[in-house]
Amino acid sequence: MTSIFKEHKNQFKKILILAKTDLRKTYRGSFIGTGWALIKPSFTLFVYWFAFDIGIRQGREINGHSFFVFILPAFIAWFFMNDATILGAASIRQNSQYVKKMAFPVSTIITFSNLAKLYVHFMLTAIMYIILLLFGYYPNIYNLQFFLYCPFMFLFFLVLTWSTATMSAFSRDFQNLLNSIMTGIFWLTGIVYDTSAINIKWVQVIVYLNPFDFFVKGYRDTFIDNRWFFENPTRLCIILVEFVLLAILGMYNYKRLRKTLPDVL
Amino acid sequence: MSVSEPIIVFENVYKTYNLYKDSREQFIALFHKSKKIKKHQALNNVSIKIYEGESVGIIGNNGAGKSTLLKMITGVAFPTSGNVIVKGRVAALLELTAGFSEEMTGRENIYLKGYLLGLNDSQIKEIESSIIDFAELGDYIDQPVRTYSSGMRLRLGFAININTKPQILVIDEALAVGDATFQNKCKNKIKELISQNVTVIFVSHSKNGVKEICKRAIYLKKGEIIFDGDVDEALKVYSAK
Repeated sequence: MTSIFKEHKNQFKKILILAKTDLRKTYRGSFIGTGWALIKPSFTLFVYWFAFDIGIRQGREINGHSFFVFILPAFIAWFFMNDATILGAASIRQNSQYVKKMAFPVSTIITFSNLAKLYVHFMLTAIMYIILLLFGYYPNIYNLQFFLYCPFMFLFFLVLTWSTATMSAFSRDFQNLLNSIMTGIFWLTGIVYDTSAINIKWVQVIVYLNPFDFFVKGYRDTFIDNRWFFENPTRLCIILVEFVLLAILGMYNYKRLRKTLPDVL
Repeated sequence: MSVSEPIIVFENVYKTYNLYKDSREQFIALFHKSKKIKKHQALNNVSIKIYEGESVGIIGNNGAGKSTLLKMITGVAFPTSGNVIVKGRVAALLELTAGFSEEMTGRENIYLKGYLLGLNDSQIKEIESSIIDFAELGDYIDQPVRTYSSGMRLRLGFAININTKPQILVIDEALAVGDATFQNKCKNKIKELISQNVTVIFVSHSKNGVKEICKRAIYLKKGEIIFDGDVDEALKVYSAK
């Protein structure tokens, strides 16, 4: 149970340096460099805005917001969750040299890889905040919840990656399976529509169980909807239980597979 | 031989590799332990004690388990059963360029690799200049590693590994670094370390190489220790097989 924590002892500096290296590796050698970290999400956002707002919805407002403002915080959370899930799962395989060629605390690979994504997330959040200001959403006390949602989201996907990264390193098929599932999860999550507006019991159950939807909604509550995280205690309890279960599962999977990784990678 | 406690201990070490038939079998193995999977026994009840300051040669044919043994000493691989205890910092002259970041300069990589090997800032600063001297990279040290030739990378890798003040040095003889002059420099450095009471594990196919460096040799065959003792006798057994 303790091996992941033990591996992180006194490794803080190393993890930060490797996170930096990871970022550089991702955007190396291209003219625009780190700019790509912004261009790609901006383009995605534009395409969805165009398809839904101009195309399908034809400029109608949603919950009192323009469609663009409605999807903006949701996408900012989604970009991180998507990267943390897909790239996080690939992290050990991608850094297999650390597993195969030196004695290395493998679980820290997951940490520095997700930290690199978090850095991009901070940048995007800052830009989103400015855009919201321009749209007339002025700073208020609810915005401070970012400092709860963001670290919790980071931790949540960190413990998820304990399982997915080790399993993906063990079997490439698992990684492919995960990638396929993520496309589905995007549409099941209330990013381009409002899940709480659906009044069907079993749909609501699924929505409540979907952690992606929790964070998407959380970001919306924080930045545009002015709601507190404790206003829906049922959801809060569900996500906390999920977090604990995933953490236990992650520690179990890591412990079970860690020692076989150098043999199969 | 030294009288102190052993620095490397193998206690009844077994290592079994699972040979998955295909990726389907591997995927299923994630969720369900099948008994049908073929296995390869790489190490079979291996027990070794190596003391501080010893230089030990590991000999044997391909597939004898030498690499597996080395990987366990360097902390990369783990035994299926049994115990491996290694005390002290291991420098492995096996994968010299592992852990380099292409986009960083040679100097930055010294730090990166230093952190990877478990050193802290002040420890790296202390050895930085001797690494740069040893690697003979000149002004290239502040250029990104992606601009290096393969020889330059190996030199830098060797220089870093050898200068981290290891207590245990693991050497694969198949390793050849740079031109003849540099190779001699490496050999001399290794001998210097041996004289400083560093424990050396040396893997080789060549008898002369082992004789030159080691007093003790371990002969492995199909994962089992056939002989462990004086290097001359070990080589005799090895050639008599």
